[in-house]
Amino acid sequence: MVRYVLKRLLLFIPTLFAILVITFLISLNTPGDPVALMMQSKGEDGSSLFLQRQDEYQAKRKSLGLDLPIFYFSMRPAFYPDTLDRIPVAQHRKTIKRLIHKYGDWPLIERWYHTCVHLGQSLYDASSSPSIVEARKLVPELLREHEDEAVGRLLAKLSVISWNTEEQTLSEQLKAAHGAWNQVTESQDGRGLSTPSFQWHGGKNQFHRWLFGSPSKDGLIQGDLGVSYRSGRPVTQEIGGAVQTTLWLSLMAVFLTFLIALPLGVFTAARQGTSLDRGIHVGLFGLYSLPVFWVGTLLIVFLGGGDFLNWFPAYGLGNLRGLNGFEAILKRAHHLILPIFCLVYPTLAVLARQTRGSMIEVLGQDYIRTARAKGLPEKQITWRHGFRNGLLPIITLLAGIFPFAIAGSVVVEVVFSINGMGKLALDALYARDYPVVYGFVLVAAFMTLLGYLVSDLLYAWADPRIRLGGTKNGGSQ
Amino acid sequence: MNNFFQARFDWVFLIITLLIVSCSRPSPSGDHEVIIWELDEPQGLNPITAKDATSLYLVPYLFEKMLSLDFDTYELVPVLASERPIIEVDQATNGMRLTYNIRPEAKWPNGTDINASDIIFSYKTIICPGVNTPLTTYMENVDSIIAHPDDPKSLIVYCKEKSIRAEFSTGYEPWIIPSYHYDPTGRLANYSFHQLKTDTTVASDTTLRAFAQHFNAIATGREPDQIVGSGPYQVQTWTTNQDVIFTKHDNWWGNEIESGENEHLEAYPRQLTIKIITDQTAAVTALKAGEIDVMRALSAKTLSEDLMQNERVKSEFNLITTPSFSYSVFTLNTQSPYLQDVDVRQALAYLVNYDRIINDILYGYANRIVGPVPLTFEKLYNKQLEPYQYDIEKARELLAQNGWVDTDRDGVLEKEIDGEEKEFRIQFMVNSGSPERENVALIFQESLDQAGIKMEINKVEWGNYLDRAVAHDFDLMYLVLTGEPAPEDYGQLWHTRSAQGGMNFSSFGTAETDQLIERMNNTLDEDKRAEMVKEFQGILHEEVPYIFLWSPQNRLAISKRFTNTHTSALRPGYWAPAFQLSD
Repeated sequence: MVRYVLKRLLLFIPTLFAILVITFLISLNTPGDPVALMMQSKGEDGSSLFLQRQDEYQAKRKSLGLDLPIFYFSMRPAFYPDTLDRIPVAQHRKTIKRLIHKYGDWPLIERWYHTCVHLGQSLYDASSSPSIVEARKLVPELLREHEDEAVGRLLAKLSVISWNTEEQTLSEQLKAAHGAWNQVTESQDGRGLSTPSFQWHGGKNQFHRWLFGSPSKDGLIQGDLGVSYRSGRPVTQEIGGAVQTTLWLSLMAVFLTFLIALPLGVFTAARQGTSLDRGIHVGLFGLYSLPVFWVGTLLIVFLGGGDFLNWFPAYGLGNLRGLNGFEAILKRAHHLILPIFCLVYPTLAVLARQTRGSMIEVLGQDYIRTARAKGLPEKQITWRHGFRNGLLPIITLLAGIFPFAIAGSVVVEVVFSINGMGKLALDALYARDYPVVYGFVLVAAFMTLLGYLVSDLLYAWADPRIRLGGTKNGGSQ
Repeated sequence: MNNFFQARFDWVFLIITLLIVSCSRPSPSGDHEVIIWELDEPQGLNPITAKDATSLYLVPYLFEKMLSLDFDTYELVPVLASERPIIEVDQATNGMRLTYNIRPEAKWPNGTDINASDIIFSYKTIICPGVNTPLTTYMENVDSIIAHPDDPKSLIVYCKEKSIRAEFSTGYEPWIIPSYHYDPTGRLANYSFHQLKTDTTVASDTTLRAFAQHFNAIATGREPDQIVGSGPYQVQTWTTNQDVIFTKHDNWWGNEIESGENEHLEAYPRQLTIKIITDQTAAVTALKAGEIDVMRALSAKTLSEDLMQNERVKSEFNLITTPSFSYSVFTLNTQSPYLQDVDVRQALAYLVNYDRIINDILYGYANRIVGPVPLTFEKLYNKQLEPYQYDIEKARELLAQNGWVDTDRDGVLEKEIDGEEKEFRIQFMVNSGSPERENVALIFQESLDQAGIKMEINKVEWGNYLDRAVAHDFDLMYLVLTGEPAPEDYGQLWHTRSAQGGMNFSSFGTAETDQLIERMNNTLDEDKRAEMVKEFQGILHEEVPYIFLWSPQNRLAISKRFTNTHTSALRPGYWAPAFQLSD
């Protein structure tokens, strides 16, 4: 048994690593600029002033390690620069990428980009005259275009403007921009575009830092999931409390579900085909088809003390301040009734149906007939002889418990304002608080693996034949 | 295995226990307690580092500033200062000096005087390298701060440039915190404000770094005994995700001030309870059950279709709307080939069915506005201007005048642009996840369609939306802006400098408007400035870089047990410390 468990645990590691890599890759491809999100300040509605706060922006990017390569190695076309990620504005990166695909010569394109930025900067510094004002409006377009024709038109427009202005630097910079662009277009050379180049970055990459940490900050291995963009609190702290709440809530719900559904399944199996069996069946599936958010809201409105009955609290888990143990339990239980009801009712049907099915199969077996022939009471036949064998398929369902426990509570937590994992993840998604979202994904992944382990073990316990790798006397408990 | 199902009886027992729990109605709040609903947990009650709305609404109960705003007139009023500062402009350098005097009564909770050194300390924390604060911008123009050599209650703030915002930036924005508590070892004392600002070596100073680290720490804004301010209340308990309880300081210095002199220096409730309920439906239920006294940010639908229809709620609560400082606009990209002409932009302004949108989508809780000036600023608001009204004929006329005609009679207008025949097809960008905004876009789309303009609605994820807005990669977009009660620097949104990577999304502006903005920012005389602001509104109205839609109203419910609530456009919309029991 010990070897069996160890083997299972070892299998955890590659699976988790795969999940980590996938999670990380998804995290990189999510839209929105985390630095811009973090730089949101009071009243700015999330807009960041790139030109003006360029320095601060770059410093923050650097401190987050976002200017590093992504993974240990990269495979990209040979002409592709490894410093592209250092261009701060997403739109500019997009344009530059297109230019690279089209023309291929990175140093020249980089020079073009910098000339544009410098041009923008000196226009920014100049005082407003009619021509300067027009030019200011054209430069952002310049950094958005990649077609030769469009860029040419913009440059021509800018040249006309520069004739009308006294600004010496402007016309010089424009000349430089013209030159830079011409070089870019002339450099066009299709050869070598598709030659892949393999680059090894070593430990200085974003994934490594995320996983193992850097000198200045801990990584995932050290238990650091990063800092929430929204609250500035460590993700582990945000998730820690929430996991507890959700686990308690869901485990209680799962426990109740089994307590109700298993006997119900056995009961209906024993009365197969009767109107009672059919009645229960219809009832359960009726419940199953009611959406949780709707039932939850109805319960709050009708039983939560609004316009109707004031039987249950409408939100949260209750404030236990100043209560002694027993009072606290009562109060918590009072708060839990509605949410747990909402977690339990939709799952009853599936489980009860499964139990019924497997019990019916078992009750048709020969050894049950033998038991009956022996004259054993029906109750004993059903429960002692039938049930244990009928239980096997149900154990498989247990594997799904943990992911269910985490994910299944999203709706209930939101409706009842319970601050658990589900609600945290949802809020984090809304707020684009990605570190928290990935923390959630990891916890959920871990729970899923744990669920499989538990169900494997239970299976082995219930059916000795499945105890792989176990020896006759190796089953230590 | 015989015992396996004895558990059956246990669960029966458990369920029975759950059911017999008594369901007593919660007792109504005590004489001097006000229970306020908040949707989110405050992230931290350190006034310098607080960024989230909830914290910013709660900080005023605990901390004070030199100046605050009058709830009705929105004029600056002194709080810790004994009067508004004396402002002098140095003509030679174009700099400013503001002389502040602190009230002689002002004291910290430990009984010591609030002195100039505390004010200077607070300013220094804002610019201290490493301190994570959104307030830095307010200190940009401040060059140095000098305490009066003889009078510990007097100080002078020197600003580099003359600015209409100087009084706000230095008096209204920074919160004042006690140096004895936040910096007991005097880590910041080694540097003057000016040094922190100019000396480049401070960034690597380990003492300062240690200070910043401690100051940014969660506990500093989270542990009740770590939160120390001069405001009327202190944090009693804070239960995560449940409530934060504020109790009144017995020996708050404001008690010494005669009542009626200054509403910011009055505090009556013994306790303010901030109840955190993260779902509005649940919160409304709690309100009906009498567990909440004050709710803000009610959704228009809840207020109009639920609370307004409920006689009991109406008899127990005042349902109030107040104006706000935010406004919604359609931003027009004036560089777009379709929208570069004024005629066309005006035509679009005539094609918004304002009344229908306000009534159908906002349940009437919005006021039309003509420009970026809030209605509450009576001195600045240009009343001569008439907001655009829905007028499809007028729009057709303007479009035809500009050459947009449906020559091939396919229902879409055409025009020759740069030698190319083009159909009038534009893109409307709206950030995804906001049904309200999407619905507004749909109504607009319908009206445009009638005039022969095809508009495609692009729902764009917020991060991308911002990127595209800054890069001017759109024709039209929906934008909601939140203003401040301070004199606005219109340059942020309207100067052509801001068109390059700033917030001048529509690329609006001419040399004249740039100069007008610069003059506005340079004119301290309020009357002269008001004239310019009105002129500016006129230009915006004529040029239509934005279609100004409306300013939404804040929606509040406040228990009728209270009077003296000071409801106002200032957020959160009421002033809880002033709540008195009605007779």
